[in-house]
Amino acid sequence: MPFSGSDRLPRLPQAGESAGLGALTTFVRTASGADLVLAFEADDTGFATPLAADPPPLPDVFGLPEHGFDRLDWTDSPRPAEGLHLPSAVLLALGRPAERVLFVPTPVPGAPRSGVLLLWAANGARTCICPFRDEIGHAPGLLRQVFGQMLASRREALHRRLNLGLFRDVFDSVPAGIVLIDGGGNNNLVNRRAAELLDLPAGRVEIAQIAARMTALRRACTNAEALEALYAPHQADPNYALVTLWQWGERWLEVDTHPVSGDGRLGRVWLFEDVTQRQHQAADLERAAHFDALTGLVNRHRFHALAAPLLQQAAREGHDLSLLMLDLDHFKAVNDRYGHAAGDRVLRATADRMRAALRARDIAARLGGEEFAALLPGTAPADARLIAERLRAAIAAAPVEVGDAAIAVTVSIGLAGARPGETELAAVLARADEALYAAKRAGRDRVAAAG
Amino acid sequence: MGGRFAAHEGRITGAGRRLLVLSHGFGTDQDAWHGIRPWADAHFRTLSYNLAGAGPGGAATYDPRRHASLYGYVDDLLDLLDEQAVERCIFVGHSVSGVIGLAAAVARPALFSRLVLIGASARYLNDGAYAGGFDQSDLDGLYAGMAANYQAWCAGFAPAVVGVPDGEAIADFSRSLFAMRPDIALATSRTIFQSDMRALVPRLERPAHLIQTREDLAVPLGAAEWLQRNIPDATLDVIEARGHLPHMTAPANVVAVLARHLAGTGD
Repeated sequence: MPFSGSDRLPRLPQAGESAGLGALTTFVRTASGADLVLAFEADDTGFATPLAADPPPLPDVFGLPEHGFDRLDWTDSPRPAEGLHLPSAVLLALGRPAERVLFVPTPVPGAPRSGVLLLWAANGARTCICPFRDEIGHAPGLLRQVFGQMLASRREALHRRLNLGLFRDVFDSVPAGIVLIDGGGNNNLVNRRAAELLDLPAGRVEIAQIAARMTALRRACTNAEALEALYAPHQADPNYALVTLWQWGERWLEVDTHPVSGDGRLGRVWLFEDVTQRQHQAADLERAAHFDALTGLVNRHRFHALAAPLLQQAAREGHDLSLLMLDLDHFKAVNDRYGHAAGDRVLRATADRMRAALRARDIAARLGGEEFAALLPGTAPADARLIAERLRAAIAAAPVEVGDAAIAVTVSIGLAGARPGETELAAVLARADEALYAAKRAGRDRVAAAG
Repeated sequence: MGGRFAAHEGRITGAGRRLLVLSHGFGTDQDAWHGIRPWADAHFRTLSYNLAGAGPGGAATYDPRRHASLYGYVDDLLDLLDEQAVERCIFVGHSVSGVIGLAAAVARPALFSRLVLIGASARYLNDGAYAGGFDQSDLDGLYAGMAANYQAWCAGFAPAVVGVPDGEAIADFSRSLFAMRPDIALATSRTIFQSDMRALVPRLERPAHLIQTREDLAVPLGAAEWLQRNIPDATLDVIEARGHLPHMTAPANVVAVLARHLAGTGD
């Protein structure tokens, strides 16, 4: 169990306001001839935290007595210390037995039992020039105002600091780069992540430096030109808001900029979020949606989506279009004899041989199982027949090597051409399918064309 | 918490003219005085009480903020004496209560005529030439032991502190140690062992009588001698007894010293 130092309660950090409080405490002690002046904050339970003491050092935290001196009426003047039940921490700070005490209550929100204690020790008052020593009876009102004001502002400042601290904490720990441009331009803040990204110091940074680094980063992007075009129209608009994607290399940043509270005069926020992963995930999803994971060919769904508009275009513009349906011969036997892993190897090899045998404009797809298809745009059935034959030959050309086994692969192909003006893909597919079955019936490893 | 005397289970016995206040040390409660009390009652009005955190009502009297420093205990003592309208007393404090009484007497000298400190120490940590008897690593080990398994720690700590094979004293001390809530015991032991009251010691304006055994696990003889050198008016009696609890294990030896210092004084 780690443990270090004294087991006392942590003190709040000494703030600038406490320095002011300290100076005031010293002044009051000098003016009143008191031997100890102590300003403290105390909550409603009477738990007190000393804030300033003259002479130093600051006493330890203490509890106000149950029937506390702070409950008495102090409007008159100092009282004898006898019977006031002063906390020992205070008495020990005084150093000599207390004789007279004056308490000035300065309740502040959250610390209702706060106040300032003035103590005069017994046996020998300090010799001093004490302007209001004899007037001290009239002083509490004045002291109350001044100290109360100070305590309240100190507490406020503390809360502000705590809030600022909280803001700083959040500012630096959110998983996004943040640049806050101050409306006045003098108090721009760059958080840690943005600092790393823009190669700037974290904290307060000059506007010119920020602008230069942001521009440099943007110009280094692969899509710099597109970004330039997006930002250019807004150069003169202080209130523009824009979300863009900055890309360089494999990285993607989503950059969101908008005016503070909708008013550019108040300032501008830039948020940089690394969405590389998101972009990759999106690309992955797209791949999963469009492509067959095993072979890399487009899937049935995507094949339909691509083929339908091409067929319509061919119908509209009077082009030819042909469609091939392929089915591996005796594929079930391959799975049964060599196992599914070998079956997968055969499917991948088939896809590779299709890609190699087809032209760039052709679209090869795996429709499922051992069923494939190819769309041949701008190709009349006669030409398609040649391509189909080439494809069949390429697939049957060599066995697929799986471990020690060499698996012979053949494919049956059905061919159908789009009829002039035909726009129903399903109809073309159905004719190609029929042709495929004809090829199967005719003995497999062959091409059959639809009538 | 109206009535500190009641809350701390204060007891007043005896019918003497002068008031003797008995304040026990860490891990015990006011029952620790049962060997001294018959003598005390024959000569004094004897006031004893339980420190915050000790005795059956310990959990109710202990306030983690108030008792994070020894001044909270000093305030308890002063409140209690004020409540009982005590004007003057002779204070006998064992172990940590020794410095609690010393601080109270520096703060309110008029309340105290003289003090007796049994096995007291102004600081337990070694500090340069000052030999308190412990290094921080020793204390960290002690806290870790308490935190890990309070019961097992008590079983080892009790005989070591008693320091003599006195089954009854060990049983008594173990009982009161067990009776403390472990979290309070840990916090209290930290407050005590990390304390440093040396700055107050030279400011004591009352006579003090120190009683120390030859062999005390908690307080080396050097720490008792340091107190004697630094209290303006102090005697030191090193009694023929061993351990940290001579008022429990060798009450006759302690009474002999008390009688010598207190019986004839006019305060």
